[in-house]
Amino acid sequence: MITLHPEQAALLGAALFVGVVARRLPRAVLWVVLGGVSFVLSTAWARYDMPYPPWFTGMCDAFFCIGLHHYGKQKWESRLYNLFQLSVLLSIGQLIGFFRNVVELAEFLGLNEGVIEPHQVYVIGLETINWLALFLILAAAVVTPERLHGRVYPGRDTAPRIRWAQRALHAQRASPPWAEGPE
Amino acid sequence: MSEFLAALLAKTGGAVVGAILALVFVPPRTRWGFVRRLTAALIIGPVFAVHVRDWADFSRNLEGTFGAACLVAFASWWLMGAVKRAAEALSQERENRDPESD
Repeated sequence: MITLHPEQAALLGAALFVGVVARRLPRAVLWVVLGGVSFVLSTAWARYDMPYPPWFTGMCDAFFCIGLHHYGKQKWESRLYNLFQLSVLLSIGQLIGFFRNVVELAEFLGLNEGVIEPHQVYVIGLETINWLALFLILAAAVVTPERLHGRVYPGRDTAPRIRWAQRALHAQRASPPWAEGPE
Repeated sequence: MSEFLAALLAKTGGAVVGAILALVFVPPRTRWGFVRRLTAALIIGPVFAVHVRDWADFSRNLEGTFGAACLVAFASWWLMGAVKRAAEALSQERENRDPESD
């Protein structure tokens, strides 16, 4: 039986919270669920000491990216896609020993006296990306036109900022995937 | 498993993973572009995997072969797009050229 680390439990709790807040935005719920499944699978793979955990995590994130590219329609989904591209890059970096080299360089320069391990750099990077992704989905769910329609915030002229946020998050993405015909 | 089959699996698996990674970082614009690049990656990856592995001094085992096939497939995916763009630019330049100046 695997026990969850507190930070993993916090991430899953936050995913549940975001899923509930975003319940009126079906694609947001879909990405939260798929991201959660990817997180649980890749964590279990690493905790059961299966071979090449960064490879498995990278593949989970890569399939998540492909799903986002295929089904994503709005700009917030494009930004989510960019975040998980970065996550795949981190896994590749861990696989080819990039973080080990960075930590060794820091030790050589006297900036890291055994404070942080290469694996920790990788895991902290992945968790930061997961938290940023949840924050992005939460923001997209909160500033939907339906949710904010008719609300007044006295004393502040918030309407332009809300309109800006709606445009930034809910505009249609620039290029649709998989156009027909020759490239 | 015979050595040959294991090497073939490592090459093919590496090429598939390279194509998946390329699809994430260099997504094609069209379905036809996807088919063209995938075909190139799945052929060029296994064919050049061992050469690139030896040239780049990767470890001479299945792991090194897998990594090299992955790298070659990714590069071929990107290269197919670059070749296509170059061909398009060339044909566009020919179309734009004033016929009277020839």
